[in-house]
Amino acid sequence: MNAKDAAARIAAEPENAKETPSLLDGIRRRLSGEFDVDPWGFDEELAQLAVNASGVRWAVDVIGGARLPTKGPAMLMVHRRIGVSEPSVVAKGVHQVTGRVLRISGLPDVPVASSIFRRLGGVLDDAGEIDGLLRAGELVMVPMGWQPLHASIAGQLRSAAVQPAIDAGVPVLPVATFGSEVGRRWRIMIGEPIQPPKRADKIGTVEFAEAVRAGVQHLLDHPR
Amino acid sequence: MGANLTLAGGFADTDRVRIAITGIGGHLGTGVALELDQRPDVEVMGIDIDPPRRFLRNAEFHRVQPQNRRRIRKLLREFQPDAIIHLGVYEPHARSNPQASHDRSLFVTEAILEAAAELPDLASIVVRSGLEVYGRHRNTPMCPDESCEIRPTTRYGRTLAAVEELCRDFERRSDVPVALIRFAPIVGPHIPSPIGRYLRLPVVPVGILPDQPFSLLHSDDVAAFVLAAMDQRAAGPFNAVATGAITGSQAARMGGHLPIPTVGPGWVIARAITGLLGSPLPEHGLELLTRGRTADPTRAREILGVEASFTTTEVIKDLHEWAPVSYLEPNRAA
Repeated sequence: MNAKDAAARIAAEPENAKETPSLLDGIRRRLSGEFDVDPWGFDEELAQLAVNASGVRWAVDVIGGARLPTKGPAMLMVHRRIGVSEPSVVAKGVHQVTGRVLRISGLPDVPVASSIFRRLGGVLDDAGEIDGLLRAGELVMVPMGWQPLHASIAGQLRSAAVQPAIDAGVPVLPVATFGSEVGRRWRIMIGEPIQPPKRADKIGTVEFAEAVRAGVQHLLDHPR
Repeated sequence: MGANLTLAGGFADTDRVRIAITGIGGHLGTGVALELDQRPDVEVMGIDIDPPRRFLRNAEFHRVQPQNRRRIRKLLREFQPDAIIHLGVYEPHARSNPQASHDRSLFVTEAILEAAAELPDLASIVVRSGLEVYGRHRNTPMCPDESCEIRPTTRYGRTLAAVEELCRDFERRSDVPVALIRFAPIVGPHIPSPIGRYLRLPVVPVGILPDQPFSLLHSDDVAAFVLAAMDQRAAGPFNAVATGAITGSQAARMGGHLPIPTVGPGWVIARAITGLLGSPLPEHGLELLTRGRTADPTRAREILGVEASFTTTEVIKDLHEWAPVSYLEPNRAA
């Protein structure tokens, strides 16, 4: 190697070092406060770590992962049975395919728990909150009503839940989940994105919510 | 009416544009007046309880007590402004104590709105408000936009809500556009701000970890929002927020200070001690540390075309880079 190459390599080194921070460096930055928390209290670095760690507990197969946008906003309408594993499972699946970390709606606003889960991507089930996240270009998961007894029937879906997608003009992806609460293997199916109606009157909203629910039901009826 | 103000922000008309500024004695008022000093053909008249903090070439200043409404009305009637920039909204523990800040803010607001009804040339009113108006009730969005409901939870928030209500009432019965600029807590090296002072303490009581994020605005960015709203005769609320957010413990650590997680009754002790150290923590400051305070800056960017030049992290860095007070040895030789 000649001197020029060596110089180029040395010049390139700090950048490489930035891409793969060492554990020690990470801890130092944590202690000095130099990490990013977004306006919703989300800490991407920590959330990436948590999603990777969730592989110990869950193994997720994703069907139709190509339909997930790699950038830009979208709402994921997720079927759930009891709803304990589903948020982590879907977050893990989406992360496997796109490398993106989901924002999960349905966080209770109680003192300590809310700020812990906000760091990992939890947000309130509130139209104002989801509106802002979609405008900021995030992937937001919204769970449907829980369905502990009938695993193959899509849960309730209030039409207000899809309102932020209509307001932001963002597609909704139906997502079906297959697995059991104590099991390790889970499967998620992602359906065709459903575009929101241009005109947002009350009937349009109800019809759109119905179309999204039908999209989820279709996936549940035709499991692969 | 309002022939003198043009939409593009240029003041091309023959007449000089007359702008009245309330609260000109504060850092923000002086900052806006300094910017206006750069413009040709602008005449500025300012009122406040303190004189401006800098020398202003084209401004006249009147020292008026806020409760002296008649004098405020008389000054405005004589000056015949084309625009009123109302920065005489006082944050508790910035320059005034909490009760005084509430009274002063409302007195000045009422006085200028009474006067404004009688000003034929008036084309724009720009009012200082704050993110505190949204309040942080349980289950309200963390990062509200301007369409979110106003439900203040703190005293300063209620003061701002009352100011906004007076302005909306005025707007309903006149056709003068009123822009309500909801500033994030304004922090900078030289501005008296309760939260800025607080974060520079050597030991900083913060919310229980992990603590909630808040956004700030640098004091140098304020004038851009105010002047854009005035030039465009904007109406309605606008969030003025720096991008990004930070938590109390991060902000303390970035300055090399020690954050102390504090819960419930611990805050009584913490607030008593920080008060003794010269940095009283107002109610809305406590809420900011324990519940967070951020907002969506999209509307100001899209309609006013203004974005903060400092991110929240840069605001904190700038705050900490300010050299600490150094005490010189008195010269005893003489």
